[in-house]
Amino acid sequence: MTDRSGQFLALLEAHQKIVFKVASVYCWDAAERDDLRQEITLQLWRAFPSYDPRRVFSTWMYRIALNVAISFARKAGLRRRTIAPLDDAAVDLPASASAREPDEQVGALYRCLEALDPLNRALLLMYLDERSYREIAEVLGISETNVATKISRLKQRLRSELAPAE
Amino acid sequence: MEFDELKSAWRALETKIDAEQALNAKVFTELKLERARSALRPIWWLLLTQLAIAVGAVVLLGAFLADYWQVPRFAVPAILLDITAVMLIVSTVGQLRVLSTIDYGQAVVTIQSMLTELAVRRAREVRWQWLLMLPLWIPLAIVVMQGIFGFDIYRVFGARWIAVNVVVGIALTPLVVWLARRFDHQDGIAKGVADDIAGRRLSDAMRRLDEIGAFRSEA
Repeated sequence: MTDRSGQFLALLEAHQKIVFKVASVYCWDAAERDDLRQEITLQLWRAFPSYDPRRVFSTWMYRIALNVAISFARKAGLRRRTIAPLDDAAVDLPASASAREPDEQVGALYRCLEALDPLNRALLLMYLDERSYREIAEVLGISETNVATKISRLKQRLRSELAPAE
Repeated sequence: MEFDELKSAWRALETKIDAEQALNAKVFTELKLERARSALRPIWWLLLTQLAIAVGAVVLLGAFLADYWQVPRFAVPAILLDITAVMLIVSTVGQLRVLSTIDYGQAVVTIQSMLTELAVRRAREVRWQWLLMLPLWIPLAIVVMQGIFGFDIYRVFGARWIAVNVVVGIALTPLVVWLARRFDHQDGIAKGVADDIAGRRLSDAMRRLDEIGAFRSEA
């Protein structure tokens, strides 16, 4: 194993969860999600020579993972032509040992994500993952003020959409 | 469900992600990485094939023109095809140049904007390729038949037949667009071609570009 690949695999292992999170947010189907994770990893490997070690690895990883996921999801959507409406059964994730309630919550979360365009979905993902506004701004390529404004609007929008019907 | 409940939903999802991660602990090994093929690469091969065909066409048309440049009835259709092939080369090289500058490590909005601009350009080009087929098939037939088989279409069918076919080809173009816009109920290759001709792929890419512009804007 070369130094470069060893360093890459070590960093990948330490931050692997980002790949899983991004794939889970952009791909509902288990087989496609597996393909997406491989695609993200491959693009990370290809881009690794240009990675500047003075920068935060997770930020760089998030950028690549999101860019690849958005392109991948669009291609998968084009292949399917129509995206079937999402129900709980369509969220093909391994079942947790916990009760049904969390599954319902995850289903509701997926319905929220599905209603968002790919960039707002990235914004919500990073916000829920408790990334700082600065990091979100750096990953997405917009200003911190813009991140704050968009998150506030997103909250308003989702609050009205999530509100239980009278 | 309140917005704040999304956070607990996210935590529930994270539990599921942890389970999934435990099942797929090693995404890749060094060996797999070296051998893996990207699902996002086909566009490169498509463009390189398109470039090779267009360059080949220019070379062959150059040879044809060298033989027939003093015979306008052959030279004019060959020049028309040559212009089309050169335009295709310019456009393809431009797309390859953009693709070669794409670094997924750049900010998401920057890269998505570049990719979507490329998609707009590609959809526009593919649409024109389909639409130009109708008026250009006659010049193509004239050059191919003469160049390969020594079969002079003017002598066999006459200039009037050729003129009528060119006019019909041009007149049919809007009809084909109209039919493509109505062809919206089937999947597969035919649906893809109809989307290209009707401009649905183009308008979809342009809508995505607007979406990115709106996301980037501070307002």
